[in-house]
Amino acid sequence: MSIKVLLVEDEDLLTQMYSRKFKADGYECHIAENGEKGVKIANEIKPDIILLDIMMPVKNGIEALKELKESQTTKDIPVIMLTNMSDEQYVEEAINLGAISYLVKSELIPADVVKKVKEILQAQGKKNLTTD
Amino acid sequence: MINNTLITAIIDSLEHGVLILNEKNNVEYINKKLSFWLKWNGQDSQEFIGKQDTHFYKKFRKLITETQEYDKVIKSIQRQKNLVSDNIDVEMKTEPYKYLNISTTPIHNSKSDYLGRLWIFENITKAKRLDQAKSEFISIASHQLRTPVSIINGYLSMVENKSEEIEAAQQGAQKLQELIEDLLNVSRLDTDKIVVEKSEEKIINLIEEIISEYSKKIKEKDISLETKYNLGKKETFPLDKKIIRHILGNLIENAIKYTPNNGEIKIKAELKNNNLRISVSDTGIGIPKKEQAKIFQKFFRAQNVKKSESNGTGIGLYYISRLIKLIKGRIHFCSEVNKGTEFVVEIPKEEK
Repeated sequence: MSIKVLLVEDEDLLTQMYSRKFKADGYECHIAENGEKGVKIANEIKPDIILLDIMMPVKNGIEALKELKESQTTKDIPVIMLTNMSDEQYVEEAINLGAISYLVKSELIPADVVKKVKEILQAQGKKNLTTD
Repeated sequence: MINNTLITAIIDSLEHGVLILNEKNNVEYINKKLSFWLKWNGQDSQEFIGKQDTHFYKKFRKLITETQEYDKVIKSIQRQKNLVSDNIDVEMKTEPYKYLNISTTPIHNSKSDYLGRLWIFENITKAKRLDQAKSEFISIASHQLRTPVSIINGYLSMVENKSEEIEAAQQGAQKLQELIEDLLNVSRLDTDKIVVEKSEEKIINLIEEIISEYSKKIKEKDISLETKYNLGKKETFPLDKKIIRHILGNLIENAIKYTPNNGEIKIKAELKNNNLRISVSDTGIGIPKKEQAKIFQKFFRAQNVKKSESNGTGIGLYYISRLIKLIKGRIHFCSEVNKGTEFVVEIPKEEK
């Protein structure tokens, strides 16, 4: 069974770009174009990991993160913020709310993002093994 | 002290608020503008006349939002009444006189007797707002620019078997991104968004880590890199990792950029009187004498640099000089055209 990634991002060209790379590397990639849809889909499909943008219409990434971490269904899914807002206030807020990592899009190419996802999932796997 | 009608008239016509203390530090005079500002904030200037300065300081303190710097100034004045001159910006709790620049200086006669103290309050709200608007604009614009640049860079990175044209486009996009990051960094500095967070870092480890990020570029130009540490291998120092990365990274990058192929770069680090001293020297094109005074100015680029390298924003050194100021350090350099440049950064252990 392949790993399910949920990409919450409003910029079409970016979702296409990342999902193409994820698919090429054997991941199953789902897309939500704003925070509200992101929370809804996350509850439905229970992805293994979520990539979450911040500046989005309808519901922004910070609000979505809050809801994801409050819901029993989604609270344990690792969330990586993937955004171009790199001001410390956002980083801090996201980490305090439970995001596992914070990536700045302009500093990374898709291959870097996939690599990061892989690392985090591996680390998570190890953690689960030791705590179980 | 103020008994001359003419002088009073002049002081009252000023756009600045003025407060004058006599030799006993009692409030001697409050001009019209300051009276008006005080009245605006529900305080009667007459209440202060003839009373000790401390009474005014206490009441005025209640009108400002962040009192830390203000308290520092007041404390130092109370310690050394006759000597202290200072200048701070304060934010007021109420509009429209939101930001004031306050300067204070003691008054002495020709025999150096203490005659009192002068306080000047300047309304800098307009300038401050303009500056904020400008910084916000740059910040928003740069954030918006980041998205298309991530798209361009991302897709280009995914092209297999890149042609020369694609590689050129990729280089261009890379430079565009660097430019945007520079602008973002500067706008962040201007809005005081950078917080210094120090922790004990292993000095050599950190330096080596930063150098390794540039090893590819160093190799590409066949530059030989030499490091010299007058330090214990595990010696630590309180540093803000991110800030040091910016400072040293920038100096190394400049050294690489302005040193011809087969040149040399030396990086040295040592502890001296509780200061950490890091130097980066190169055998590059150097900085012309005439232009040396200007290199830390925003957007400045030297003539010989413009000729040899068309890219660059002139922000790098300005940015790191501001960062160094933020951590209370110092930077200086010596340079000779076509021989090379050495930059030395000194970082104090304690800020106090």
